[in-house]
Amino acid sequence: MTKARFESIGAYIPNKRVSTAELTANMNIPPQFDLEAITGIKTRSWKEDKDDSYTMAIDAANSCLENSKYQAADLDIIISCSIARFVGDCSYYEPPMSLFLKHKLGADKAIFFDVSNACAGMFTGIYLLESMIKAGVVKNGLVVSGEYISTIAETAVLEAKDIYDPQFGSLTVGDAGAAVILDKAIDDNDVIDCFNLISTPEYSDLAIGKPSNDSNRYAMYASNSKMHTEERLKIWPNFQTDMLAKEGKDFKSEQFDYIIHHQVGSKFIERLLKVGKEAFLTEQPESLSVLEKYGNTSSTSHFIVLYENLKANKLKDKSKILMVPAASGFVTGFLSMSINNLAVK
Amino acid sequence: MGTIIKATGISTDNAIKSSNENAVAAGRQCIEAAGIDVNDIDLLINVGIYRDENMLEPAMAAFAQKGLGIKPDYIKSQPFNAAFSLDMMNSACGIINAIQTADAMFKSRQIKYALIVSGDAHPSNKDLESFPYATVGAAMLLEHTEDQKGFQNFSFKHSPTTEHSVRGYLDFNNLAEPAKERLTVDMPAEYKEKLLEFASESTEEYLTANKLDRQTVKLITPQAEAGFGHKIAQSVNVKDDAILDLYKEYGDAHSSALTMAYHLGAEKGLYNSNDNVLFVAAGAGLTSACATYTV
Repeated sequence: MTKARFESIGAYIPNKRVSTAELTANMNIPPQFDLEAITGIKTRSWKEDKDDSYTMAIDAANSCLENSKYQAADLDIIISCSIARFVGDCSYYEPPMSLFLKHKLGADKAIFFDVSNACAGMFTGIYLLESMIKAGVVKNGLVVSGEYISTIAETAVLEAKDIYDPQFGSLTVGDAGAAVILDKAIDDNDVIDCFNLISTPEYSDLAIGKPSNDSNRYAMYASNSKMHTEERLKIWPNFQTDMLAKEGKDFKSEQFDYIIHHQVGSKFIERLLKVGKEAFLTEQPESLSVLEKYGNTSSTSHFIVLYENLKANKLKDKSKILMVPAASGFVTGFLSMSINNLAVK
Repeated sequence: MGTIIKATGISTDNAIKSSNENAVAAGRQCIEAAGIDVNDIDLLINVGIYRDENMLEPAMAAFAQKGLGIKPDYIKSQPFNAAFSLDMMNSACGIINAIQTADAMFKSRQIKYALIVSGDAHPSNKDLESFPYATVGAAMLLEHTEDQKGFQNFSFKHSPTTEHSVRGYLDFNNLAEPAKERLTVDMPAEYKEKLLEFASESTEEYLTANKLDRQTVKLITPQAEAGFGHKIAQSVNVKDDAILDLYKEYGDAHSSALTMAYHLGAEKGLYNSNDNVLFVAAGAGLTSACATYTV
């Protein structure tokens, strides 16, 4: 069967940075914790006045097209995946963001829809697009997310009380747009090797994003201590072990060069690396991160990590990369891919 | 090889004001009608647009998956004990996007059943005049078969600009109500007329391009206002005796409209084996989506 690949990648990272010290200095209740030490986040990328979900998606899509052999008019499908869908101060339900993007980009023949799946939004878009390419429904497509999510951090600044507050995790987020174009793989050097996602909503009420009860902004209420128990974190390695076993493979034999976890916080990533090592019975690959600079850019976070490492030419030739989502829902899984020609100009 | 409808379900109980509850109620009816084990559902797509409390995350599909008891947790070493759920949003056309996506997933992954659910509600869960859509839910269970029946020839179309489109959004500049209960649905005065025109044009083009027999094809259409489906049928010279006018009883069921029309039509025995049923969706954008379903 046909396989798909990442043909190109692009990003829009606002120039504005908000340091953890600046953010917590504005808190209504003086923080009783060292957020930077807890999360490993020194600064987070922050939307500029001109930015919203739509403009960040456009900028990320244009960045991706600059790195692509395709023009917008060549695209068969556009899937928009951001959590919030802000145009100005309005968060849209219909028409879909993907239609606004299609019109602006001039992707005349592209079909389109939005997906919403918390921080796994881009993974979800890529999962559907990969299936559509394999099934021959489309030849290529753009998956894009303009993630303006710092509004929940502003809410947490006003409302969070302490480290146990359900809004505490919102202080980690930053804004960024990311985009990838997928098409058919033409060799084994650039290919999505194995990709599976799983939703385990038994505890879906542990992380809810919605307008605040107390102010005119979105807020995120998450019981991280319950959501990130070791048992929950183990879903990923258990699932990947089982899926690899079906094909007679194991984690070690996959010989991953790099692993990219969701950029929630440094301690969270350390815990996942530990859980992975124990469950897979092998050392974990080198963990890539941009947490310190950009914070948790939610649905775009893995793709910002990949983009930044490609841009800085930090990845070795013929890399094998494992990406592991972790999103409200709870959604996890694994995307393993080989990349060689994927490049950022 | 085709993706067929194994069963459908609807939820039209006026006492239910929640989009999630309607989606789950419809899903439950659908699964019961299919007589399947919920553990055989591997993909769940929610195509509802307007959600309770303006919730951003998780996906509303996560609540539906949990509410329906579809593999809510992962049990190690039971690799088939895994389902994936997501929200897909494309106004009233999302149902056709979801069917096409499920069809692609059947062809490229190991999936037994895919369930598409929908439900729209005002975020306050109140009956408000300003909300132009019906608070109902629908569900469609799909499976893949080896024969030539099922969905084929998916086609999507949109108008050159969004100027005549309905726009639904949460406006953070409008402080009239708490944000979790606030919603603006701007419907231009000409919207329904333009939508009818656009849906009719799209249907005409689709019938011609796919050489469907206008004497025998049966239409499933949006229900944006009373008589909407009949007007489309008349404009494209297709018999309208298989079209149910659901608007009077239920209003505009939006993301649930096509599944609901098919469900009620099937209950009345309107569709026979080998019939070609043309699903026509139309909504914000303006956007239309068509697919032929061979029963």
